[in-house]
Amino acid sequence: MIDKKHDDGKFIRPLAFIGIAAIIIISFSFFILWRIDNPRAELIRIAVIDKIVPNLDWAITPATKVSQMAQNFQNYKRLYDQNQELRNELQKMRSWREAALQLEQENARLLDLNKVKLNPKLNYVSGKILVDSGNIFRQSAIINLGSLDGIVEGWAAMDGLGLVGRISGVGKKTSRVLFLTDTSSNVPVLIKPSNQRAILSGDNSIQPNLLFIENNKQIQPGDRILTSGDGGVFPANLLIGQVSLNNLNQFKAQLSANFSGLEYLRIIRHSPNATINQPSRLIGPALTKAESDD
Amino acid sequence: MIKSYKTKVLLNQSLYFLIFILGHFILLAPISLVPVNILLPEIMLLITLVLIIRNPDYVPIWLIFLVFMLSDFLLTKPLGLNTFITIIITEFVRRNRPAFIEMLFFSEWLLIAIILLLASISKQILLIFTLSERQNWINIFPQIGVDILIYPIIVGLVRIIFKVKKSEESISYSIRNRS
Repeated sequence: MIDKKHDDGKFIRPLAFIGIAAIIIISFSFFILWRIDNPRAELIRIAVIDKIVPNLDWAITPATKVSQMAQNFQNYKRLYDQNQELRNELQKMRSWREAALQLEQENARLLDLNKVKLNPKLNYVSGKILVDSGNIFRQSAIINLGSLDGIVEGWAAMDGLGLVGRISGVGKKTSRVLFLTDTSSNVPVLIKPSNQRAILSGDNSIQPNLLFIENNKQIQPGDRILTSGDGGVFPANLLIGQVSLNNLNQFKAQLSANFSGLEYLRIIRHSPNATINQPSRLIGPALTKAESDD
Repeated sequence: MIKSYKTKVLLNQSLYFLIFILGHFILLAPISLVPVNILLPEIMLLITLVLIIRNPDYVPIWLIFLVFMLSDFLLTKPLGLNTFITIIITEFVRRNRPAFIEMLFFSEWLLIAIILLLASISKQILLIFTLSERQNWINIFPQIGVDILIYPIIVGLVRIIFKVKKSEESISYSIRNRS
């Protein structure tokens, strides 16, 4: 740009110097802004991504499809073995299904007798994963749902079966899902059947750590991990996975969500229950002013 | 002559941008979301350095700014930090291009290795000074190692793709340096 008039002008050197200095100052001030006012800088980032990523969809989709085809082709090689395994599993599942149906009916009958009001039913919106973070130290992805679809920061993202992560950053047409495997993801969980509480903390591997377990002796590999709903970010009782033990005797979580084949995510619409922060609100209607003063 | 050189520069600049776009498509495509621990070299940075020594006209500073700023935005990195460091080291190499041209390949490689090392360390120090979230010191050295090892391969590829040689005359900077 500046170089265009290099043969006739004498002002190129100072002009070029000013240009370079300006660019260096701009990029450094971006860094300072990112550090000082991180939320605002992330808003700028989301706005930029919102402009760029939905328009790149036509180009990224073929690349993804091709690589997935290559992976599928590898899978075909062991199709027969897989088929046999699935048949066996299906046989077992049939009996479980029968048991589950009976239990469900019984449960419904008992609930009806008790007139219990459980948590409000969760419903969800499904979105497609557009791009991932492209960075080996960050585990997140951008999906094609944003504030126009009513997405709210903090909502849970699941694949068909298990929890995948939560919404962190919402643009107009896109939003970012932070995975459970990211180092900045910490989720309060409940381990069944012993009802131990713990924190599921990501560590950039496919098996996040289980930290701060109340009593290590009461849990065993294979126990189920559910969200506890503590902290009010996630609804309670979403399936996360199973407990496993690594060779350093640390408890890890074997996630139920299939991270290698994620294409679509379900975002759980969830409005937190009314919080109870005053003893007087526990029972009955709000007290009048005269009564609550003493 | 000048006219055709200008179109050549323009073509090569678009080629550079195209490589950036393609590279980031591959990085961003959600192929598998299982965390992997394979270190990828910072190819864009290496290509930029190689091109600056070969022919700085192909990578003007505004193009470097555009490419690295976009990459900071898209790859959830600290905004602007990578751009800042990259622009400083590329400007350093650009200023000292005559020295680089006279060097044998091995001394060029050594010097680039030192520059990459210093750049990573200063990036890390800036993150420490600003108390930001950062990688462990242990994690940054494999990255530098991979970058240094892959440098000769990038040089070969760039020579083929951009058809540049070290001795190439670049209009803007040769004139400027002579005056």
